[in-house]
Amino acid sequence: MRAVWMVLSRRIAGQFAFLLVIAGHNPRKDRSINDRLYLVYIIVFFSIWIFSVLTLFASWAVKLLTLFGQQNPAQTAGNVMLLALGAASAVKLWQAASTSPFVFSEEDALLLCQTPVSRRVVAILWFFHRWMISVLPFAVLAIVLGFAQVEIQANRDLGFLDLPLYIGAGIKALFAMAAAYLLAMAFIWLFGILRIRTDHDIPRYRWVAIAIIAIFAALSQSNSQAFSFLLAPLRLVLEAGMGAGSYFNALLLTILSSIVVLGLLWFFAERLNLSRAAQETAYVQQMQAAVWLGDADAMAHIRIKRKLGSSHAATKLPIRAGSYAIYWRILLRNLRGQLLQNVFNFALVLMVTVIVFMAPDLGSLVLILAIWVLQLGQRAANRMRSELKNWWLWTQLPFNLHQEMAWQIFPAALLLIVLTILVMLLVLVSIPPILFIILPIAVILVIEAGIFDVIRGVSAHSEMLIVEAIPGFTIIGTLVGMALLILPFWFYLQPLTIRSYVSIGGWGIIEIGLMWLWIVQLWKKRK
Amino acid sequence: MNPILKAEAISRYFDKFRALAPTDLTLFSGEITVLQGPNGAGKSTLLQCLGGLIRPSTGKMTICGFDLYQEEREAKRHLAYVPDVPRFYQEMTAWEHMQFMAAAHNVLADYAQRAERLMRNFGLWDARDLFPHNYSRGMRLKLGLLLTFIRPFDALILDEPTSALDEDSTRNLAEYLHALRAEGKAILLASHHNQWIEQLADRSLQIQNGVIQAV
Repeated sequence: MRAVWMVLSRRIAGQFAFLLVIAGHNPRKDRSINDRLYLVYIIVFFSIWIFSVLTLFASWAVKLLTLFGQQNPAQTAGNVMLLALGAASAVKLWQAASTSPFVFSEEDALLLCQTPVSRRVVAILWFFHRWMISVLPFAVLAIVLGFAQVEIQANRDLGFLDLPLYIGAGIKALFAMAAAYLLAMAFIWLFGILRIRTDHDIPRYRWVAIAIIAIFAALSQSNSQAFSFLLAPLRLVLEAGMGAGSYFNALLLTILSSIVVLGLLWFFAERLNLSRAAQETAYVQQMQAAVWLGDADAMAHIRIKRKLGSSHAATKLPIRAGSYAIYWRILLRNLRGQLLQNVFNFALVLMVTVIVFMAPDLGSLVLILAIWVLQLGQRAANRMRSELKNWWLWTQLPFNLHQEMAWQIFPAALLLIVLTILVMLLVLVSIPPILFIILPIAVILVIEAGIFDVIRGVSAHSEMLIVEAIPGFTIIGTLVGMALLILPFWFYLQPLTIRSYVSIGGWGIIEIGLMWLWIVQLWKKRK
Repeated sequence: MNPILKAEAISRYFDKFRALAPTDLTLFSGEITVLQGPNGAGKSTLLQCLGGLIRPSTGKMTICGFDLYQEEREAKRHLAYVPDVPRFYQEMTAWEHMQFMAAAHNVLADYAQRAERLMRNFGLWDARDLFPHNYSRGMRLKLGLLLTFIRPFDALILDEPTSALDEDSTRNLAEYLHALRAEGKAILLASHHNQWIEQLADRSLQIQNGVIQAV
């Protein structure tokens, strides 16, 4: 027990310390009175901030509950929570039929899975650790709905003196949801644990999960007694948490039910196969670690690795000698990587590009242009980052930055321009001829701004290339992109004459050329 | 012997730390030069500077007369470098990497036969359709070497090429390096493998605290 607790408690302490470090307090270093006062300040600040946000959400929830649940808002709120809990439980039950609900890191695999520690202790401690973390979104939902009940029942403007009402309702709803979630999660883990007690898979276990989900779904559509009985420990407590029904009796029923299911979990956990659980959850664990650190690159890497599997037959994509190979590589990587996400991102950029030229006034145009520069600039920067991340391979290719940039900019820009014009033709039927001048110029300038931002970061610290720490798109890139668009769009907004065409085209080409040379010079002079 | 790679007064600082003192070094065609030194002596920094992976803080480098930073494209045609742990494109298989490298260097003609021969010789043929992130460290190193051997070059820089190779592969690599020397390539490699060094080296260099000395 002590060994398992030591492993888990250190992890919890590490996670807690990580959150505090993000907030600006390092518990391992900051020990002075000032530091402790700052810690108190952080706690007070975030408490007030979280409370404010939750009351804001509650005011929206009041509108929805009074709209959809005029008869009985408390019961409607209870049903909303039951629905959310039911949907999440169905997904988790389905996952538990094929992947262990226990998630172990590599360290856990070494420290726990290979040692004769009590499997029951591991099961219970890991269960409560996961429960504490995964209950959070449901807790937020419960507190918001609890606050909403206070506002509905008060039927007047509430002030600071009504704070105890909010706190009381929030705690009541929170405990109700925590208990209900405990029961649901204990059942799911019990279901998962039964599968990973041996090295062998239980045949058709997924069908068992489907059957359980189907039974609950079917019963929920009827007003049968069986359904009421089966769901009573969940439904009663959630409704009571919103003020409908006897709270303590419902809470007691849910807690007793949870104790029974947890007892079964304890009983069956004796033969829990920890090694198998560790093998099954390697991906989930890596992903959780990446999400926890907010490391988008690591998340993408893990996702692509999983998608690709171990092997692939050689591509049929035709390849030609010379710098065309750069484009072959870009195409292949895009097709094999996160294709759906790439398509979605491109569609988003396309949509904003179309909106830019439909802006009704100057204010809207500036706002949409800023969003467009952010979107398109970021995509261009990400592509350049992705190539520079393979720095060793980059150095082995007989290409210079001119060639790399040309293949990164022109095919993507051409596709975006053609599709934008097609979409505009569909929407507007006819499009102003000036668009054929300003659109290519604006697209290329913004892509250049994205590439510029990455090269700017790299040129100051080229040693970052070795460790694959390539900077991303920043506010400077956005500002450069916006600045580059000032001249072309200034002429675009003037009364259109032949001079406008010449000015936009001429200035655009000059800006593209100067920007191109600036990027190449930065690259050549990297330190 | 013709000078292939010339480095004049190259040095590298990381902030105030001097990883490499100002160094002059010339690699000649048909010569294998071995670089030795304890861990942290500056071997990898020197090789990365020569290979174009890190820009030296001072000095100038030319390969076959082309400046590595001003005439990047021409210089890179003649220079090859293989790190001790190569990294690859995540979405491309080993075979596609070979295909891409051959296309990039304009040597697509009969590349399939050459790639197959190389992969069979180094034991990667059966794993050609695997993504390199599924490779062991030794296999990655071999693929890194093969990506170099599939393309033309005049100067080859290898950072601890035997660090993850088994005995047969090490012997195989030695044979390749002998053949490359006979073709007039200039080769510089860092290694701790003494027996191998004695067998291969035409010239040995010792590096200590970022300062290079001929042995």
